[in-house]
Amino acid sequence: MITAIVGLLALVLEVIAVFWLMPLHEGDPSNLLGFLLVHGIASLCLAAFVAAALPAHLRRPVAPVIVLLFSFSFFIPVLGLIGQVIAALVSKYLPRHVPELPYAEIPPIEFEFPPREIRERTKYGPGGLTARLRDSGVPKETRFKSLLALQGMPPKIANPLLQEMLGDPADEVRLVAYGILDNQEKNINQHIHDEVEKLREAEIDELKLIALRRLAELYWELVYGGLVHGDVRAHAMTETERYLNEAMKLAPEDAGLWFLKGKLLLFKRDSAAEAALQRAVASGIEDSRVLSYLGQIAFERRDYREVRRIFGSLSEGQYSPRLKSAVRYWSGIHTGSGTV
Amino acid sequence: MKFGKKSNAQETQQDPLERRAQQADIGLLLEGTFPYVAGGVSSWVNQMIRGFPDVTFAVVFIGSLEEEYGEPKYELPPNVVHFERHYLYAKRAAPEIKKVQGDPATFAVVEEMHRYFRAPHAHAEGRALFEQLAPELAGGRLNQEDFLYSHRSWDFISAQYREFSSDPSFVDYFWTVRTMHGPVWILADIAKNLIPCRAYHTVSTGYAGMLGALLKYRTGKPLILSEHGIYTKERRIDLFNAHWIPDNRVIFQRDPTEIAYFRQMWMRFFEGIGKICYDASDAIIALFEGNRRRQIEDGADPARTSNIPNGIDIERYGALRAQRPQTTPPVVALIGRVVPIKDVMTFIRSIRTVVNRLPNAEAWIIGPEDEDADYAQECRNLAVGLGLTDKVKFLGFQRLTDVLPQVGVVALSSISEALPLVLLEGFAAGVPAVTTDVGACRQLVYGLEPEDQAFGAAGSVVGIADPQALASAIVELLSDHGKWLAASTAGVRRVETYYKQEQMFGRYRSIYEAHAWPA
Repeated sequence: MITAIVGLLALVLEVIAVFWLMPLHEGDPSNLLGFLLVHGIASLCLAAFVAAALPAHLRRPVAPVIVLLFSFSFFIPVLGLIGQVIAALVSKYLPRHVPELPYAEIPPIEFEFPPREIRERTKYGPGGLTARLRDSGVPKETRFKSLLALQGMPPKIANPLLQEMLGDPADEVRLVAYGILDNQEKNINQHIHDEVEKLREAEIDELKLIALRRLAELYWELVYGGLVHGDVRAHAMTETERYLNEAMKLAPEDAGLWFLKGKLLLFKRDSAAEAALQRAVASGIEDSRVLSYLGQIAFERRDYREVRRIFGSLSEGQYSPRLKSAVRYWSGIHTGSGTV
Repeated sequence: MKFGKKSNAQETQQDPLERRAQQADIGLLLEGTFPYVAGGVSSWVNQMIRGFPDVTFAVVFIGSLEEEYGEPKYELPPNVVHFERHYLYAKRAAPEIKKVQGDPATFAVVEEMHRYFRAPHAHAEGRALFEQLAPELAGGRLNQEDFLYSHRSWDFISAQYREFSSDPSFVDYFWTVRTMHGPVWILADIAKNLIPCRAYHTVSTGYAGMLGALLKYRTGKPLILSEHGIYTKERRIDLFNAHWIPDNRVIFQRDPTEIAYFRQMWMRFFEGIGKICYDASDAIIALFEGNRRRQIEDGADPARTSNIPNGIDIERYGALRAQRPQTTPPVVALIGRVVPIKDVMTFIRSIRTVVNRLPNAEAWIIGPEDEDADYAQECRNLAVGLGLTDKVKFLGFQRLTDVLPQVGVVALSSISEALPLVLLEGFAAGVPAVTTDVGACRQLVYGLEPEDQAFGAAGSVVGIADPQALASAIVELLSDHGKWLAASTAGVRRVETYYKQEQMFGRYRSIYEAHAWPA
């Protein structure tokens, strides 16, 4: 009832305001002020009336809705009022059909990695694999699974274990270990074969250098990955050196080649390794890649002060996670050197 | 009409394997071996057929695809009265699509049988299940249409997927199941149409073994199983390394210790059909104790198992000793097909060391190279890569009686073997051996029982994929004449005492007599 009175009041006031304006004479602003006052009150009443007439979900938040409705009728005199009355009537009597959707808000899903069911099934981490594989008393299926998990580990760590498994009494374990190692080696040998072809066909030094570098690296991978042994390893090392030397003839200052040479000499326990690695640094290779090898050389020379200096100079992120404990150990001793 | 007749006659002439009969004594079930493939099992089959000239054989050859097999490597002996070949993965039209419901009782048995395959020890009545199903597979209540088109089949497959599959793809699951079961109905048809035999003898489990089980349950005739390698185990290893099996798990679903589900399905399929064969066999024969134990582990009834080692023609190979030169030829020979399982590459690597120590030594690789041409090429590349072009000779297939007198040591670098005939043949010809520690090799080189061991070592046994150890053992035998002589003598005495083919024939004859034609 009050709403209707307010609505009617708005209408009456708006009519009065318009009539107020009619006798407007040039240079008499008091009429305009009177109009604005009455039109303002009319607009406010209308805003209140329309807001009350709106469906509940359009009525909130109250203040901004009132301000908006007020603005419509205040800034668009007469027409704003008519428009709003029509809009209010339409929204009241012709509401849009909004279907009820079967959606509800659910709490966000929490992802676990690895998923719990896998974590529960996988009862061992990488540390336990070695122990399980070496113990032939562990059931065959468990050992077989451990062997599968080895495939996800870096060859340098996995391969020596796989080599051990070649002597396993269980056929499956032995043959699968063999299969994994054999595939790695076959891959490398295939690449070697391809690169030898490329080298034969290379006519310009740039292409020759690419092939020579790849060949040196591939033979080195056979040695470093522990895929070859005895005379075959000696042969692979000779080949690494041969291709490396030929490559270095074409690129004497190449940092990568000096780095590989350093690693090869270090593997052969040749004292020239240090100089080669230094040369790699001088030629532009990142310090952090070489420092751990220099650290190893210093350690083998029993120059522990140098080891501390080298490892102390490495900042986190400059070395691989596997080196972390070594770096922490040596740099820790460095800070507390008084106790050594 | 005349033309047609002529062409038929020509075909008969062209096909040396064409043999048809109304019946035979033994139905010999062979998968991927004799007469199309050369090698240990095939030559054993050839030897066996010829060893029983009074027995007639119907040979059923089962292969994967016709194009994978070239010309037959063996002539059929005259006592093979019937020969048929079937290719399980050859293209054939599927049965006409029609609406089928599927028999509920039969599908209940199928379900029960799958439960049995999952947990054989927990299911006392498991063995009887396949016996119930076997006659239904060809013209019964479990035809291929029932598998391909029935609602029950669809429901069963979907339910199994929901319950067990750890791979998310139902499409791949569905087609894996279909592909896997395809050969079952082909085998059922072969079993239905095969001529009557007094007994069936399968030389492996797998598809041939399943055919054996189908025949046994269809006809009630006895089934004998001779296993050389352990089929299920070899399939398992092949499948582990196979690249064609899909794995649709995303990183969140992947368990590093779990074999991809479809791989597991294939492995279990072969375990299942292996189990069917073991359950159906009246006699389960292994070549040596290690394999017999493995059969029991895989579900064979221990009471039906026994060992019959290979045997060879001692006179034929023994005669070669007279042709040997006074001094040991510095030749080491690998005799066998050039295939990955023989690990010829390790042998070639070992030769690098052998030649470093004995510069006049030579290595001969004697065996066909056509089975895996890529691998043979890799071997040749390796020999070149190791600078052994003049030292490693690929001789292809040779008659052993021609080459053995010129060989100093037989080497076997295999990663898997059963009881290799080449070692026995070498021993009889006075050639000692260096082998990897696989199958019965240790037993052949060092002896089994105390009296056997007393003959001494007929060579050396080393670990697999260890070229350094293989080389050292070869060098030791080639460079120390006293040691070589002792090994040669031990080999001759061992083979003459325990591995004569007459012994093997005798034991098989008593098996045939006990089961196939009991007195």
